[in-house]
Amino acid sequence: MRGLDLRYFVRRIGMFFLVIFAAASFNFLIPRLAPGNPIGAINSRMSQASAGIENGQAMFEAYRKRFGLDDPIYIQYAKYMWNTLRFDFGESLSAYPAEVWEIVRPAIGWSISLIGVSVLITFAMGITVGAMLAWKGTPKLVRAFLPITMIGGVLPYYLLAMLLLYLFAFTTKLLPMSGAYDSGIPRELSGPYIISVLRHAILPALSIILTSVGTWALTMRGLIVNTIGEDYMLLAEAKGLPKRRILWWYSVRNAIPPQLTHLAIALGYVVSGAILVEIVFSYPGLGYQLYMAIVNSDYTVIQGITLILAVSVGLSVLIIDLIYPRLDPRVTYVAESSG
Amino acid sequence: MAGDRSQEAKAPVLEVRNLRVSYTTAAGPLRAVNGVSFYLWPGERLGLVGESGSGKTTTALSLMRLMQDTTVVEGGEVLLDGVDLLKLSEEEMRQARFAKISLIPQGAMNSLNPMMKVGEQLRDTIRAHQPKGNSKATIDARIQQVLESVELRLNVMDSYPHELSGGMKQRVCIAMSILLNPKVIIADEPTSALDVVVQRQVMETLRRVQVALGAAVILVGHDMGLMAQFVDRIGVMYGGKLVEVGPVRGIFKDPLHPYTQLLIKSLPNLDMKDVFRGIPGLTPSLLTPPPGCMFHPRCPQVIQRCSVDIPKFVEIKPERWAACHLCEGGRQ
Repeated sequence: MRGLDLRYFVRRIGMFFLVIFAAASFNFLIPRLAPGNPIGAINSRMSQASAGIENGQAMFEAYRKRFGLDDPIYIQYAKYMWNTLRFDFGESLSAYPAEVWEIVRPAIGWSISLIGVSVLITFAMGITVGAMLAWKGTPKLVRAFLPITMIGGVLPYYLLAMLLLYLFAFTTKLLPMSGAYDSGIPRELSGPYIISVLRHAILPALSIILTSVGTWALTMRGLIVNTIGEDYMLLAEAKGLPKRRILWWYSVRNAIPPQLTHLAIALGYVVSGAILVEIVFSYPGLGYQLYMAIVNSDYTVIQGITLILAVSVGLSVLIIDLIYPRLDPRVTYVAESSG
Repeated sequence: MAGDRSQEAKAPVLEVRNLRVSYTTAAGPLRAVNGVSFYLWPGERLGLVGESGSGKTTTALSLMRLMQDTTVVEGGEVLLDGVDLLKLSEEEMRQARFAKISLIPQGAMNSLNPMMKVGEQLRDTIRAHQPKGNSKATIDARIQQVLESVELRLNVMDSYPHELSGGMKQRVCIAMSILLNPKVIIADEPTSALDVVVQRQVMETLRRVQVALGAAVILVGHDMGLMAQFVDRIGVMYGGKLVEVGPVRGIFKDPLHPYTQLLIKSLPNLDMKDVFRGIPGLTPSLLTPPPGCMFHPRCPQVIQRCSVDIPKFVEIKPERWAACHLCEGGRQ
């Protein structure tokens, strides 16, 4: 590919795996530094449910053995790394005998579709609004309307989420309160199911979109304003190009590469970025599952989710890095020795 | 010379009458171009010279109505083939740009879009004016023709601007300016970013394609040496006004306006190696212009009238125009 040589490619991929390795190691370490104990959590839950357990200590030991928590820490680490390499995150500690993967897999789907799509919509809206704010060709009426999109930017998204919930779900009952679909509908690709999924997605998506469009628009406006004084903009106008062509192919085209980097990182964080929204709407995405896992000191689920988070951030940054010479032709990645 | 008798029967291709342009500033309107009038014969090369801030670039860009939000054309006429460009609608003006009057920009280094291949930037120029019916092959054939005429290889079409040298970029800009066979080409200090050797080559190229096309050129700059080699007539600007216009030989041999005289005296001279003379004083503030003649505070030949009356821009001798009370009074 133009601007990219094999040596750089290999080096960059190597860097990616190094990052994942480091993330996986921290991932192993950090939950074990936190106070609390998974077996203790299970025990206390059980004793709350049935006011005391017989042979509590024996069960505690059995669980510790079952999950390998009685091994020395380095053995646990080695086992963990070996399993991680095989994408085996083990069994959930709190929802045993469910596998971590069984809990995480559906959550990934919900998070990517809700938050991923919301971020993409936000990006597209923010870019457009920002460009139009900066552009002198924008009709006055539109221009007067645009700053409204900024209002959401001053609200924390979880507050807006609760406001929307109160207005549209609790008070008027126009939209569902929580979850990702109506449990009464069979989970298959049918009209009612899709409608139900969409209806459940509206409020969480809105609370993400409305609170972040403003930020995207403001950055974009700044980047566009920077291009307006450029010499190539004068020549573009002098050439008699239509305004729209100048805006999109000269101004926006030059302003957008840093925004795409930002988008890649934002998409990488899709997994964790909206934990609070998922909690407010009890939306069964990764953020919600991560929260539940933390509450239950569920090491294995926490490890599974944070590793997925690390991989997704690393992967999206890797991808944007490798395609950057396509986005900005002035950027080339060629090892120094080969010129 | 293109500017003399043989063409007098014809109409000028461009006629500028009493053009006034100002910038809106916090301190009030700044009159950057203050009643500029001149004409341009078909195929003629006219130089506009002056210090920084004399209004030469503003004048040139105003002819194409290329201005910032803060620029206001306060009055005047820009007649291109008898049509007043200042009265055209936005869309009509857009169509006229490059098709009738084109620009070779000042910042050659950054005038091409860094994100787009050179070929695409040439193609969109043609497409903007002939939106339908032209196949890519026809468009590319025309592009190849102009690239050859400015001595560029065809593979520049597949290059990004940063892959070209400064001289090559400026050649691309020249090629672009002649793509649609305009009648007038405005060259705004086209070589100011280039070194002297490349400068000469680029100017030679510009002259060749301009002569082949029969287009008139307005060359904006402050390099009197370059002007002497390239243009037929020179217009000297000072403080937003034309102070003298005349054939290049006449102006160098016998400058009429005291400012022009000082300007020519300040050129490096092989016979007088030791002294390097400038013009004492500073350019006037355009926010609070001096009364009378703009140049009178710096003029070595200033008389009483100069600080009171604004001198008229009149034809002193055939083909020689100047705005100075001394000349008006029939000096020589």
